[in-house]
Amino acid sequence: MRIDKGQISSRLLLFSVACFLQSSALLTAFLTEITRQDSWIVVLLGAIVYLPFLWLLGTLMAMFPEQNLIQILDEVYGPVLGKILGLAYLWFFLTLSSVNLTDLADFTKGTIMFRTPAPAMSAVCILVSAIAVRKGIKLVTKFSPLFVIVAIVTMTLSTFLVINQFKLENFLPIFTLPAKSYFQGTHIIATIPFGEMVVYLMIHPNVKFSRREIRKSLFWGFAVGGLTLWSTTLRDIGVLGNTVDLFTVPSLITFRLVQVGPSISRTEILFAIILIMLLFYKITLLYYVAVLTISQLFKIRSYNHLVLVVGSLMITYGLTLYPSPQKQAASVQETVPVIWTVFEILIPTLTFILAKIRKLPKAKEA
Amino acid sequence: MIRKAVKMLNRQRLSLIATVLLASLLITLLSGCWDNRELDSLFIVTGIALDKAPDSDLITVTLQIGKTESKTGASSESGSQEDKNAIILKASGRTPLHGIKRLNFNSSRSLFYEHNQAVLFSSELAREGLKEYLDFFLRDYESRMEVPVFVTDGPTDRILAVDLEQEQSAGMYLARVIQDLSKLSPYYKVRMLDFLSRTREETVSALIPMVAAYDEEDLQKLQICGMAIFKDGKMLDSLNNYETLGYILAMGDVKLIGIEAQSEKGHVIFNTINLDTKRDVKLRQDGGVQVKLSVEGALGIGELKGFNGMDFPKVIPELTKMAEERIKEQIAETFEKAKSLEADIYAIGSEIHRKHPKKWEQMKSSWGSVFSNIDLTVDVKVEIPETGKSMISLEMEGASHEDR
Amino acid sequence: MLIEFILRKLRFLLDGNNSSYYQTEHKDRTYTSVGDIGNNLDENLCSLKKLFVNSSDLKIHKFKFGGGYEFSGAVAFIDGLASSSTVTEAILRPIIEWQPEEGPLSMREIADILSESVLWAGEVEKVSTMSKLAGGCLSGDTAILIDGCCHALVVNSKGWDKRSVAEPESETVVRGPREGFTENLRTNTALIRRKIKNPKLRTEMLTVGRKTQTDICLMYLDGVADEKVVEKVKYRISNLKVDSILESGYIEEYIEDAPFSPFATIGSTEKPDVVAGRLLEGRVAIVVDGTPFVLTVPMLFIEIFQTTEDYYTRPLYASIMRMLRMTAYFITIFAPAIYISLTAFHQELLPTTLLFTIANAREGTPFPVFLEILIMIFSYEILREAGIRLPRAVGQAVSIVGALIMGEAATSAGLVGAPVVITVALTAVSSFLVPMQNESASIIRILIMILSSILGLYGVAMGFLALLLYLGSLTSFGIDFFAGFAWTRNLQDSAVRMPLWTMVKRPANIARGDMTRRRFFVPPLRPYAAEEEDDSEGGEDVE
Repeated sequence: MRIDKGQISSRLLLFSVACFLQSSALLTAFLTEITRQDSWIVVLLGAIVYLPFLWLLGTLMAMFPEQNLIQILDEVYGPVLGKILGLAYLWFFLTLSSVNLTDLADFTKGTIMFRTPAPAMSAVCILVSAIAVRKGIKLVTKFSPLFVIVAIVTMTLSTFLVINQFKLENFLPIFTLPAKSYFQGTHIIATIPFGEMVVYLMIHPNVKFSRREIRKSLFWGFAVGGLTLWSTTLRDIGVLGNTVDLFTVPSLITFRLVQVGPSISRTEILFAIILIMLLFYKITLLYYVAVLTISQLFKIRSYNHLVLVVGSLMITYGLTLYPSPQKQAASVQETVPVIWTVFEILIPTLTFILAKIRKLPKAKEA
Repeated sequence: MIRKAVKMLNRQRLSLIATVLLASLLITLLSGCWDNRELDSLFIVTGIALDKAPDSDLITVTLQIGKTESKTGASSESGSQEDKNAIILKASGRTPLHGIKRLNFNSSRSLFYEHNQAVLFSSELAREGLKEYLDFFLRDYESRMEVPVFVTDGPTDRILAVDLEQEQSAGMYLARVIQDLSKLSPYYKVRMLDFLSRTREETVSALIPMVAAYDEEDLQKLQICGMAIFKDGKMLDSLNNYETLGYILAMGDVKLIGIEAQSEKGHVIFNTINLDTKRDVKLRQDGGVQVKLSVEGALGIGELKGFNGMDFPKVIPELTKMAEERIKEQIAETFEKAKSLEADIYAIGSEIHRKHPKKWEQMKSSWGSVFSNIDLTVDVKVEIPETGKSMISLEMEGASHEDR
Repeated sequence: MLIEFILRKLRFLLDGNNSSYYQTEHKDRTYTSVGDIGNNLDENLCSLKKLFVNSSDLKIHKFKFGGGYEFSGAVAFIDGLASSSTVTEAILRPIIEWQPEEGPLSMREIADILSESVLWAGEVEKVSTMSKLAGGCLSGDTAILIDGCCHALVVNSKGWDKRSVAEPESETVVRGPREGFTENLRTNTALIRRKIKNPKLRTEMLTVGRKTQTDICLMYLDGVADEKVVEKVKYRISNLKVDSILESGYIEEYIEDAPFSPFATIGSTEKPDVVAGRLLEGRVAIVVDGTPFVLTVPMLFIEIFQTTEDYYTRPLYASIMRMLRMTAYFITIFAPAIYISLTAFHQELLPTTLLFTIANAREGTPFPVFLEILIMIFSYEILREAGIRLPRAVGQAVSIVGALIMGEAATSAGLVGAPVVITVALTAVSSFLVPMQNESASIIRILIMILSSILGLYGVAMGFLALLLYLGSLTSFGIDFFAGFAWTRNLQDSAVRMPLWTMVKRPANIARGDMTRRRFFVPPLRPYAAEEEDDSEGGEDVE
């Protein structure tokens, strides 16, 4: 039973993945706080560490081309354990989308709307997202190429505009921090932006693809998104130097420093708006996945009634998640990566191994 | 069947429309437009100054506010010349924000800092240390990191209140002057961010342009009169304009400054075409530091006086030599001053930190004394490819018509 | 409570409409039940008169004919619809002058002889029911009834007064054909056919409207147009259980995919060359009798930025103009909202000097910016409406009063600031660049203004995203409404217009079957091209 019958091309998947990762680029503060001027190395390390799991993700998708994550779990672990795991994933997806929604609201609050309450912003965002979610995967991913292009253009443009303030010395000294922080940073980067790609296990049945294509699109999407993330980190460190760990959103401060002539200097808000749009894409995708997971778990044929309900759930859940941005930063650095690892790396790996042992997809074909 | 489906669709549509309408209605009614601030309810701050309050340990916050005036209606009265361009608000408090909060009680509009053009500290306050006052500028959402900072020679409120001929307000004037000066050398432009970044690095001394007010035939004027040297957030001394030039030459990336040189033969002013300084920091075995500055560049002749009776081709090497000596001298002079103050205005310490992080750990604590014992060698190499519009000076050989 | 009530009302209205269809349907067909044509002329005429009771424009003329005037007959036509010269010269005269050569003829044969050899008419139909006869008369034909014959002849004599082909007023061009459609269906189809002289150009007639019996003609290029779309259009139009169709707008509203959308998802134009261009791209045209506006489906959003002149001028200039139009569309929707958010929310984004300029203008104006702009836009809409509705000469006076006096007075009185006037003027002028979506723009503009007055630039961004998603969700006859901007195979004709020789294929999302416009992608750069190879051939005969 497939709930959303929309089909997207594998190229759209590529852009979707890229955009999904790019949107994380604005919230690199959790990383720069720990690893400072070496953050760019950590981003690279994280990407390399995640690569095998990306392959795993692609393989899982190729093994079960017609089933989404909940159905895979059902099949691999049996109905009871599968349902329990499914519920756990539901929690995971809901939390993920709420966290991102809160991020969006907090970012907006911190950059352009200082006095507006965050729930108002999340509510508007959810209402707009709901338009896309109701129409299904086709509309959700439709504008990802646009967002990717906008993101790349913004990054390139801003890099050019601050290139005169870019100092190579800012990257020195290299490798002077304790080894623990490198490990921690790599873990964070592998789980928080990259690992979240596990949500695509809910979407892949809607992608028209062949076995080879899916890995290719995943990889290229990952490459584009990862590169953007990496170059953003590079730019921020190069420009901000030793102050990079001071700010909650380093990219924004970088944009603040942009000066094109004496009259156009306050450009950071425009960049903030673009970053908000990127984050909006991620939220819409996560929102869609959360709604889809619920309807899949409870076997609801049409999820249209669910959309706004889940949306309001996300807003309220987001309100209760973290009492303050500081608490959130702390948990992002310490607890979140550990829990996320379970969902993003351990369970998929286990599923893959079990499926291989039980030779599951083959039995199905026969 | 179809009719039923159509009906269902309509019902769904309608309920959706109703929900959205209700939601937007609620948003509109309940909002109150949190962030909305109309322009006519704002005081646009164009300058902030911190000073020591007289006879107390408080500080004075002075705000300069750009005046807006309606061009329509009731304009007949505003013809008087007495109108000042800016409003000055003053209050004292323990910290900047404390003072500003007090200001809220005697201003008719809310204060708006995003367009602040300059932050001024009085030298008196600066000598006592600025570190404790910087937190406000770092934390406040509205304050901008790229605002230029200044130290004033004398009380700050006088400078902000200056009624200038050239620009609308002192804040704007200072911002423009710095913008203009940064075309000469980027080191003139000290933004809040630079100041913070340098203050954060313990061993580096920050420099901030100094500004002074003076009267000239009934007109009040402001001028940049050098740079204040900070160490650990405290002002130690200041460089005058001449010494500042030495600092700028040592830092390199010079765009367009004038270098004045004099010898018994004549007097010349050079314009830099391009001038860059490469710095080579070496650690000596005995724990000392050796710094080698190699200045390379091209100069143009801006003005020439004297050199009577000399042949033009002969003048050029002479001039080159003069310029090189001059630059060397100027750099060394400023360096000596920095050494005597133990103030690492050149950020040599952080260069060592970057290149030799391990040795730096040992040096860090005694950096002041190490710095004051730095060996400086300056290598200057300039060319004079440009002579301006005229090849020769009127007083020179070949210029006179008697030759013919 | 209140909303529930409104909902119930609306639902009632919807249901009511549906059920009333079926009740009135049978009553309305009264004239169809009059019956067949009988043998007796007088009786037939009597029933015809009964059918057209109180219709002064039905003319019935009895006459006798045949060698010895042994036959009697009658012509019936509607005065004004039938051309009187045709009736006299092509129908009455030959009949009356006709001398039967052979012996006695049966009445049935007379009808055949009349239609085959006597009448000077290109279109003669033999009918046997009163309803067809009446229908013929109503569409301008002349009916010939013969005593003793149970068939009547309906002869084409359409000749009412009609407007001649003239330059359309809604779409003027500097370069390009100046002819426009008229209110006459046949003239319109002929105008299109003159552009595409190809038998594969299908023109299918449909009649819609129980009372108006409006003729509708579907035109499409067979083998190029998507058959699914053609079927869909046919299905939707032929299933219209409506009472009347007076203009193509009626049809548009009944058959579009998104009836509640502020965006028109069906294109309309007054120019035959536009329709021809769209037909060649594989679209279907719906020509409705009685209006010069021809509908084309499916419509893409990008069409609002395309004009015919784009294809007649240099590609570079046309591309720049297209991008200008897109920018203008963006401005006309977002400029007031952005102005509000800049001056009431994010003053930090303005350069300092500009901020002081605007602040000086704001000083002393009584309303918040949002209200200020709303008032100005509202008065602009009033002026615009006044300018359109009034006779042209007066309309100009209105615009002068509005633009000069009101704007100037409002600013100098200090009611609104000059920057607001500039913003609204810019908005208004920009909207003229994209006349096709003017209505939608003025609605969306207000919505986004409200959003921006609450949430500043965040609201604008969210409004932009919502608009984008909404446009993305629209379809026009199953085709993505928002397609054609990116990732389609016909990028040559989207945001830019590439030279015509690069448009090798027809738009992939519209056309089906014969996709080739040109066989090769050959730029016309080579000298002596004609001698080497012939690339001028279209795709038509290649397959």
